[in-house]
Amino acid sequence: MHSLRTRITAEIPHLRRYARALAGCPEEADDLVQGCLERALKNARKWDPDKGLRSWLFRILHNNHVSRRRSVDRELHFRRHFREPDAVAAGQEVSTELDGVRAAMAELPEEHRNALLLVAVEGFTYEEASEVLSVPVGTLRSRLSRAREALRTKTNGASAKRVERGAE
Amino acid sequence: MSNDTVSSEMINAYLDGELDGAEQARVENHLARNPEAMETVRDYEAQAHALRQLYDPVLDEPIPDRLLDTITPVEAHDGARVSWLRRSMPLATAASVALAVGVVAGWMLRSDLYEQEAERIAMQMFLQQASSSYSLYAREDSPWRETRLEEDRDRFGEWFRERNELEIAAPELDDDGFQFIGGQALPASSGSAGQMLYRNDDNQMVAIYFQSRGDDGVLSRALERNGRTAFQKQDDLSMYHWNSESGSTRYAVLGSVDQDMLGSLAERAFDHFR
Repeated sequence: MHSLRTRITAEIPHLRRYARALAGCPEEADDLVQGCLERALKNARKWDPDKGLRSWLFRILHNNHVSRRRSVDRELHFRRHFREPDAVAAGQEVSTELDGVRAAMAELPEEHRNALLLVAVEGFTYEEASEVLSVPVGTLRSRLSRAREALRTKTNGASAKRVERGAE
Repeated sequence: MSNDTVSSEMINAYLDGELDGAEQARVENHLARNPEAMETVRDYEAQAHALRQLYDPVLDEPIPDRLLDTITPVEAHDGARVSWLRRSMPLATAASVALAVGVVAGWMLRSDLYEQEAERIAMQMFLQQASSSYSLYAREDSPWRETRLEEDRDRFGEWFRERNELEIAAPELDDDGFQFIGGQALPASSGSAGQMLYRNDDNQMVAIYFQSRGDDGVLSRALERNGRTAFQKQDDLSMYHWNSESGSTRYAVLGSVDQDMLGSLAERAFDHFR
């Protein structure tokens, strides 16, 4: 048990990264992580050591997120109207290009976005990612491919314009 | 030619290292002969790079105490215990002497829970007062609808200040089609409270309810801890509520209008009171 706690602790930064992308607001993201940790400790016996610890934790985190999605949706809707002052401050200085990626990510359907985050950012295999999301690998493949293409279209719109201007 | 086509999912799998040797060779072959496909791969790679730049900074942040507290039993984690005690300090003053005795710890925990419960109730009361004020003075079927109002928008602030120690000015919501029809002072368990009513051409009513924090410690703390903006909906009544920047007043914008409209009104009110 002790070593499991230690191992889980080592995964916290990764859980927070994914949660941050899921939730948008740091506070809420940590709520998700906290819920995940509590659940994981409670169900530690259910963990199958043959399956990776990380994908097990991510699956808990993801399910936690899904079950809270309704309230999260409201919160997101709300935040569209009210920029929280500290959210802007915490955003640090990010280049406009990254802002573009951030905005494009926000526009993706959540299912597509999550697939991309798990594979491209967290480095999960397709097998693991499909387990986290509880979908068949085929579904994951198609979501991933659509996510990348949509993101490319959205962000290329901006860079294509830059190229045109540069050519003048 | 058909042998040469490579699906977009294949290209993705290639990027993600999910292909076996033969498949991989096939994709590479395809890319070598299709500059456009190659460009797609480059874009996807750049994308992954950008995503990591975007999300990686979280990895370097220190892990918040509350997460460490969750994962590590309190006894084993001195830092956590200190911060837990610090959190319950206002309560601890009376118990500070007894603190040295470990037995008291159980009692402390329980009274902290009571405190949280009290704060939760105080917050509920704010929401309750806001919605019942709306029901009393804005609902169609209420005998008190639109009674006891100061109807001059410009004078309302002065009128209110004379009765309560709170500076408030009624915002203009004309751009959203709502006209000020009056404001009133309302009873409050602590501090001062009031509401301003607005109506549009469709005869829909919205209210801006406000309550300043008085000396009631529990309510003040409830506001402090729940300062974030929130949305609530019960039956046909929707409400946005938030704290003023200084934390001295909590506002709610509520009414039986759709959430988009309410959001727009709340945004205006938010800017106005800021």
